[in-house]
Amino acid sequence: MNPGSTQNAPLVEVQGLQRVFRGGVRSPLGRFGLGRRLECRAVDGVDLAIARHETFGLVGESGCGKSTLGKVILDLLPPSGGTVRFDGRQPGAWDRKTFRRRAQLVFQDSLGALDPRHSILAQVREPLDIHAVGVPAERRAEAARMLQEVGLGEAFHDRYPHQLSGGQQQRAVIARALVLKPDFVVCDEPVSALDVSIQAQVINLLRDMQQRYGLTYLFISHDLSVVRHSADRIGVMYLGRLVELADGEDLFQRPLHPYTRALIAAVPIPDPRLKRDRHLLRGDPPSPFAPPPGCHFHTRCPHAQARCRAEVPALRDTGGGHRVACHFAERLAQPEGVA
Amino acid sequence: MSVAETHSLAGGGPGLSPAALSREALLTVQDLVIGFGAAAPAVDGASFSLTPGESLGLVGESGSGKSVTCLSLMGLLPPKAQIRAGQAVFAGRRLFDLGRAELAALRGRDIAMIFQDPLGALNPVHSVGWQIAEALMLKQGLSERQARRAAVDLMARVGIPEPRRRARAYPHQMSGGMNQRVMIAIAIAAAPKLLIADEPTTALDVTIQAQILDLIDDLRRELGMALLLITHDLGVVAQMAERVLVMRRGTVVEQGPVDAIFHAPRHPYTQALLGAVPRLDRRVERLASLGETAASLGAA
Repeated sequence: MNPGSTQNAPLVEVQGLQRVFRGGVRSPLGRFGLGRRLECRAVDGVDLAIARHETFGLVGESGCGKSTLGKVILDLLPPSGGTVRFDGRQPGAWDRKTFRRRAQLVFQDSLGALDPRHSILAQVREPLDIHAVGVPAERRAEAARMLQEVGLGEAFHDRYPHQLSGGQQQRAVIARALVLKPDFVVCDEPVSALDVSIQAQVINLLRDMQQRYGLTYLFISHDLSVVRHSADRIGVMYLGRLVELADGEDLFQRPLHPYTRALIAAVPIPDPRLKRDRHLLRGDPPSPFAPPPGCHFHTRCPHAQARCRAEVPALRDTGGGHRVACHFAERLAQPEGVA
Repeated sequence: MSVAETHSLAGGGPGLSPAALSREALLTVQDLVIGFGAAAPAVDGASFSLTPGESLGLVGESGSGKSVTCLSLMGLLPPKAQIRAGQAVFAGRRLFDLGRAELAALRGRDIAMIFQDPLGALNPVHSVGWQIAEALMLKQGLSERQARRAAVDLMARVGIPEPRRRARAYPHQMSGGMNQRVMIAIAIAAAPKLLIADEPTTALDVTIQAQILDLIDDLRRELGMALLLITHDLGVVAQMAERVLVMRRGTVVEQGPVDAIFHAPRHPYTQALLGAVPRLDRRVERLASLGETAASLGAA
């Protein structure tokens, strides 16, 4: 029996997932196979489940491993350990074409994602050609319909990517990702390169498409405001590990991890009357090649104690599915959300 | 009414109120028009002023002309750009009439600028300590020995830990936040009267952005320096600026005190912009989308 066939099972399940990048060698003896190899645990034991039709937001600062996690889930990078299950099966167990058809992606750099030498219509049609959906005339009609849905009418069919604005390019990328009617889309910083007004349009478009096609999103972003607006549940990453995971509203009203709190406090809010206690984090994040032992965050945490330096905190449930990886979360918890 | 004088919309006569002019302005920009070749002007009639020690936020989306406006003040416009009309007066001097040497002397000493990309703005083959010292030698006339010592003090002042050791580091060995601190150290080396910051934190992570914004704000108050902050981020403006200028397609559509702009915006564009931003402190069902058909879809 296929365990994924039940509607209640999560669409994506990630367990103990690891992805290690091996870098150069620090020692001059490296060429003789000696010396210590540099290792970056970009994803270091992540557990999460994404329910059908939900938007799971993943936030964190640069280098926290959020994009790597997205790529491993999509089988664009092999995991170094742990498992990913998509609809009950590991990506490798799926027929490759079937998996690609069901799991798609939208990246930040829409111009880079489009082929400069093909018209927009041809590019949106290409996935249908590859998967041999219907006859050519039907494919053309379907590609045109999809473009229309994302707001690019007939006038855009024969244009090339460089003839479109950034927002239009991202619309074309979304049309191409959705034309095969996938179940799951990883959106990696889909609006980060766009102006505020265009950003709002693309966020609204992604939401409309989700409702129309029952999509499940993994929404990766460094921008907490965008994630708060877009996601149902949110995971916060720091140096390869999930440090907190909760329902969106719960996370912002009752952030438990000191890092989540600092992150929220650092986001500027467009209201000059709002005077917030910003208790800023000191210093830079540590190098992912040499993360501190114990809780990775202890070097910047205002509440760190001896235990934090020695023992890795587990991601544990504090009730209602609000999970946090901090030894002292309960003791630190006082209401200090933003809404 | 005083509100009407300070909170003004585009098209309401000359952009500068007499009140703003009489208040001993540090910088006055009047009816500035800048064009690139035959294309429609990138800046089309911008007027604003800045008093000593004041912080003015210049917001707008890409192509609104905010960066071009500021580059013109520094005499740093690309060769293709032309100042077609208007005047900018800084501390009694007409900026556009200055010669190359006069401008060079003004830059860094009276007006300093920091950019979005500190790694690109720093020289990769010199240590950061040397680059700060160089600014001190050129603008303050210090000897090399004095300048190197003063550079370490400046690095400490902008919050770089272990400044003596870090002074010997090269830009690629430092993080983005640390490099931006170095840029700020160079900018404040000569205690300028005006600091122009063009998207100074856009390339930085949010926790680092908060540190850098705090640093800029502290230094502005300590040094009594005016700040012209260019950004697309309305949250950053709300936090940093005393007065705000909203630009769109080369024109200033609205300007006023920060509280009025955010709580009683008058121009439809300002209102739409505020409705389009997702906010951390509240969740709305749907973001306002401005010019969905006209601005973005019609005109490619």
